[in-house]
Formats: sequence, C-alpha cells, structure tokens
Amino acid sequence: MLNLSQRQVGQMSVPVASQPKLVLDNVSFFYGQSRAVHEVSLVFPEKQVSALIGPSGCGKSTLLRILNRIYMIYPKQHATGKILLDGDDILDPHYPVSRLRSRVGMVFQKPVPFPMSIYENVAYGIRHYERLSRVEMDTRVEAALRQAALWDEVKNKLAASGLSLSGGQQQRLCIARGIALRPEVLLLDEPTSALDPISTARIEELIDTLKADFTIVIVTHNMQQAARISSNTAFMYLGELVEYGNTSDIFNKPKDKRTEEYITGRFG
Amino acid sequence: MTTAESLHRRRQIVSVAALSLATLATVFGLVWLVWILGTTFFQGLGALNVKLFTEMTPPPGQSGGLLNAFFGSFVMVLMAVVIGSPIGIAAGTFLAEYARGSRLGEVIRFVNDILLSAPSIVIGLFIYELVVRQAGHFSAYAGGFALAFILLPVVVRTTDEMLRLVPDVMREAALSLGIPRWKMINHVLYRAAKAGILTGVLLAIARISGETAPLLFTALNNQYWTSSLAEPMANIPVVIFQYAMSPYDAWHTLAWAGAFVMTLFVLALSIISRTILNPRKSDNA
Amino acid sequence: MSTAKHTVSSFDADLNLLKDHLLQMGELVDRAFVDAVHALLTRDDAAAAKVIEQDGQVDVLEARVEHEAIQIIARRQPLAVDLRDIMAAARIGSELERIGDLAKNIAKRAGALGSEPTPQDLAARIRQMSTLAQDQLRQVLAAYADRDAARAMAIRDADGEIDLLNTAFFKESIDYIARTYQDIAGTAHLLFCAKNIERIGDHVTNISENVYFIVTGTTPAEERTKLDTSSTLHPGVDPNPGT
Repeated sequence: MLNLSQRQVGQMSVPVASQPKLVLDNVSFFYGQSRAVHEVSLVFPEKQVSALIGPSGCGKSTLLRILNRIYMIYPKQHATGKILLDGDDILDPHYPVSRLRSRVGMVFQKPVPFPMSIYENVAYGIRHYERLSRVEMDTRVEAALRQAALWDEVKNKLAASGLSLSGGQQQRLCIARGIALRPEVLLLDEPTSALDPISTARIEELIDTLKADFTIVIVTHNMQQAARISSNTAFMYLGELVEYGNTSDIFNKPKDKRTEEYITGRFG
Repeated sequence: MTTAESLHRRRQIVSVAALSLATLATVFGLVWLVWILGTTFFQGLGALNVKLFTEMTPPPGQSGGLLNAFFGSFVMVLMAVVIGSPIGIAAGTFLAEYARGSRLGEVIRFVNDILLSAPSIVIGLFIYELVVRQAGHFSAYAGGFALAFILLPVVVRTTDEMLRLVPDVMREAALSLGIPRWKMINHVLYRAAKAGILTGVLLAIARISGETAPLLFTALNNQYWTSSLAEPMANIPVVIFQYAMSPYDAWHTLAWAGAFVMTLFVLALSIISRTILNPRKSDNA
Repeated sequence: MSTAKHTVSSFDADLNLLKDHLLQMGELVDRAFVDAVHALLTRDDAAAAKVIEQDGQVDVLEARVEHEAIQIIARRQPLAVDLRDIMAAARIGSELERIGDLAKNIAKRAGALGSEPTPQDLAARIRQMSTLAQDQLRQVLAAYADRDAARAMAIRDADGEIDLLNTAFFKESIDYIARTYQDIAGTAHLLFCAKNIERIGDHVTNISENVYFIVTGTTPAEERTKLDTSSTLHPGVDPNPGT
C-alpha cells in the first residue's frame, strides 16, 4: 500500500500512489546570503492534503511561499532548484507569475479581507482574468462562497464590508476569494491558528470537502490538526526535510528520532 | 503597616500625584486654546457679521469685509493642494512600496524631513527668486507654488506612513491572486489607507492656510478683488499682518475677525480629520 | 527509543505513575500466584483465604490504571510511542488482572482438596510448572519496565515449555487415576490448577507481545507455536511416544 522510498538528498519522496501534482527538486531558499531551506525534494500528490510541520523557524512557511513565488516582491529573497507543476517549472523566470498564481492560490494565517464589500472581495480576482457579465459574475461569486461554506451566512449582505464579518467568517471569505479563481493547488499557511476552536473545526471540515477538487498543502503548528486532515506529512527542521511520508506512519511510527521527539513533545 | 501596605500606599500617592500633574498640564494647554478663541472672538466681534464675507478689504476709515482675502486664500490653498497632493501621494507611494529598505528610500525620506521642517520663509524666498523675480511681479500662482512646496513634504510623509501601516499580508493576499503590483496599490492599498492619506492632506491644508511668510514674498497682497492668477492676490494671513500693524481700529477689528475665522477653520479641519480617521460607527467587527 | 524528557514534565509524571501502578499490580499478582500454589500443595487454608481476599486490591489497581490511561489520552493527545505506551498499559493491566483471577482460582481449589496429600510426582510437576510461570511473569514485568523488546520475545518463545509441561501433567494425571482410582475429585482440581498455570503463561506472552508493540509499533510476525496438545489427548493414546 505504501510506496515510501528511502529519503536521500536529491531523491524524491513519493508517499502515496497518486498522480504527482507538485514535484520539488532540490529546492533551496535564500534570504540574502543565508540559506533558509536546504535542497528539499518531495512530491505533493494530486487532490490530497499534504501537511508541513516543524518547530518555529524550520522553514515550512518559507517553503510554502516558494510555491507561488510570493517572495518575489522582496528584493533580497530568491529560490533555486526546480518545481514542476504538472510538468511546468514554475521557478523558471520565464514562467509568468500571474499564470502561476491563477493556478496556485494562497490563504494566510491572518484573515485579511480586502477593504471592499463581500461580493467585491470574491469578484476582484476574477475580474482581473475574465470578462464576465453581471449574471455570470453573480453565479461565480455564489459558487465560490458556497464552496467555502459561507454562502448561507452572507447571501443577504453581499454588499456589506468584508471587515464586518467575524474572524472565522473572514477566513472563509479569504478562502472563497482564493478558490474563486479555480486554482489547481491551494496553499494554506496556518489558516486556523488565529481562530477559535469552533471556527477551526469549520475550516477543517471545509478542507475535507475542498480536497476533492484541489491539491492542498497546509502549514500547521498544530500536530493533531495535521494528523486529522492530511494524507501526507513532511517534518522539517532547520530548513531541512527530515521525514516525509504517509500521515499515519509519521504520527504512529516515525522513522527519524527527531520526528518522534517533535511530535511527542520532547523537543527543546 | 506591613511592607506590602506601605509600598501600596506609596504607589497610590505617586499615582495621584502623576494624575494631578497630567490633569494640570491638560488644563494648561486647553486654557490657551480657549483664551485665543475667546480673545479673537471678542476682539473681532465688531466685524463678525455677514459683511465680513461679502465685502472687500476697505481703505482706512471705511467699513468692509474680507471677501477678497478669503477668496485669495481659498484659491491659493486649492492650487497648492492640486499641485502638491498628487505628487506627494505618488512620492509617498514610491517610498512605501518600492523603496522600503533601500538606500535611495532612506535618502529621499531624509531630504523630505528636512523640507518638512524648513522655515517657510526660506521656501518663500526660493519661490520669490524662481518665479517672482523672473516674472517681474508678485502673483497668486507664485503663492500657490510656495504653499504647494510646504504642503508636499507633509503629504509625502503621511502617505508613506499610512501605507506602511497597512499590513504586508494584505499586499501578499492581493498579489497571490495574480493581481499586478500597480493594480494592487490602486485598488487595495489606497482603499485600505484612504482615511489616513486623506487626513494627511487635511492636516497639510490646516498647516498652509495659516502660512504668512511665504505669501509675503510671492502673492503679497491686493487691496482689490482679482481673480487673475498672474496678479498679486489678497489672502488672510497677510491681511491680518497688515491690518494688525496699522493704526486704524477698524482694521484691527477686521484682523481679529479674520484671525478668529481662520482659527475656527483650522480647528474644524482637525476635528473632521479626526472623525474620518476614527469614525465612531466603526466598519470593523 | 526516545529517552528525552517531555517538555511538559507533568506528562512524564503521568506516564511514570501509570507504569508504577502496573508494576505494583505485577508485584501483587506475583505474590498471589506464589501463595496460591503454596497453599495448594501444602493445604494451607489460611494462606488460600488471604489470596482470595487480596485479589480485590488487584481489581482496584486495574480500574485505576484504566482510568489513568483514559485521562492521559484525553488531556495529552499522545502520539507515536506515547500512545502505544498507554494503549499497551491498559491492555497489560487487563492481562495482569486475569492472572490474578487465575491465582485466586487456584487458591479456591486449594480449599476444595481433601486432607490427603498430593501424590509426589504430580506435586512435583505442579511445582515445576508454577516455578517456570512465576519466573516468566517476573521477567516480562522486568522487560516492560525496561522496554526490552528482545527480552519480551524470548519470554514469548519460552512459553512453549509450560505448554509441554501441562500436556505431560495431563497425561500423568490420567495415568494416576487409571492406576489407582483414588482421589479422583482432588486430581480433577489439580488438573484445573495446571490448566490455570498454563493460561497464566499465555497471559504472560500477551504481555510480552504488548511490550514488543510499545517498542516497535508492530505485533510479532510469526504465530506463537502452541505446544499444548492436552486438548487433543485421547485416553489410552499416547500422543508423544517419546516423552
């Protein structure tokens, strides 16, 4: 059932038999001269949830942010290596960034709706790519909000400001905004760490339904959350990929001592 | 009394003393404001009527108003805002979005701060040399330019700071939708910082409406009505200056009245900008 | 196996308490077993009564162990080795409790035997079996305390010997009855006691498998060879011509 190849530097780890969606090959990341991510190679399978866990500063968020090249706005940061999205190397400077970001969406730790109405928040991104009639846009916005499990709560106040929603609702709005573009991959950077337990539970439920349509990569510092929602888990430490495999293996019988120490709370 | 109790008592005493000092300081500050408003009001009471806003500055001995002065101040301030705000906002945006940590950005900010605190008379002299001397005469547009130069660094500074207050996450969220940078700045950032930027402009207006020295060298003054920008134009600060130094009581009263209106105007601008920046009925949940 | 301490020290304290309670149970059960066999072979009714009475303590401890295990799972959300540790502790507690019950059963039968002393060879066989089983029990508890998977597996394999002794005892008892027609009831009780000792051995191997599970996260691959063929013995037919 499990095809876990022995991890060595430069070799890929394919945790579960499924189509690879994102293939990372020797990816490194630099803040100026200092290296934050060391030659990470792994594969994120299609339409599954893959989790990145590790202590603070281990490079998991950094790695996530390479996947949509959001670091490009900061001049001193750059990445090396290859990342293949369905065969296209998205780290290639010739690969258009806006195309990448229409295929790979991101949701951040802090819910940050735009200072616009709820409707506009969702429609804004779509407008940049497509010319839709009012009716078509209405349908798209509704579909995105439904998929984000937010429609019923906001359908009567689409013109209200995005900031008038509660924290959990704002985060779902941000998710709706991201999935409105119909990306193939969804990157979630600690999406529930700023939310209360009920909102967290709702978003975990949402992720469960979204994985039928999107490949999801989630960074979380909550290990039980990673154990609950992901199929594959990668443990990173000090910028290196320590272990990557089936979630149940990682959390029941991790191979690396460091992994075990981290997940059982023996770290530091 | 135990040590804990005596310490507590001491803290209480210090707290009461500090509170009293702070209250006294506040009262001290307020006293002056009230005194100024009171003084200008009562001294100018004789001229505070509709005529103030409907009649021109009179020759000595006759009654009149300050209409041309109000008009002139309005025109020149408007000029300053129209010239200075777009440039200021654009420069502030550049600093906040493209020159965050760079050497160039630091240099620009530094120079801007110098300009911000430059004595306004220096600016007046500069425009005098550049425009008035070249044209051979004083003019309203020279006055407008001078005021624009004083308004500009304020707007640059506040725009820069207000934009930097917008959390980076918002920028990244927009960019990760594939929105190009300029669109992100226009649609998202400006919208998020608009209250702050607007406040910056309002406060700059409050500042320049009272500037006298630069106008002395550029627009000077005009006894009569003019709507031509190429001519010297009346304005409130210079009129107040002229009338206050004169020996005529009627002019004194007009000067006080002008001063009162101007003080009220600045006060109103401050209150408005405060309401914009911290609305009582908040949008946030 | 990780020897590092948990960042939250009360977690370690909880786990250690759980372990201590289990080892306490082991000690009680060990003594009960020894005393029960002694009472059986020496017809000491007072000793037997004591064993029966003290079994209550074992039950109390087992309930406590189970309760503590559930508490730790609820509060600490344990993973990997910690989770295995706790699951195994609950199961080991259950096994030890049953060993205690079997010892109690032996003690009860001690009271049921007549005043006639047990025939020498049968008594010797019982003593042999119980000594072996007691030794296994102590070793498996040590293996649990040390988390020694190799030792646990050795114990598991050695259970075959007890099985063989049980089969032998079965045969010898049948022979004895066939030969002498004396004290059939007493001998029947002894047969049950021997069976109890054999089952104690089986519970010990269950514990050893749990210890293995704690360390490796898997159950042992091969099926344990069961050498107890007493259930298939037919009177008059010698299944082991060589013994």
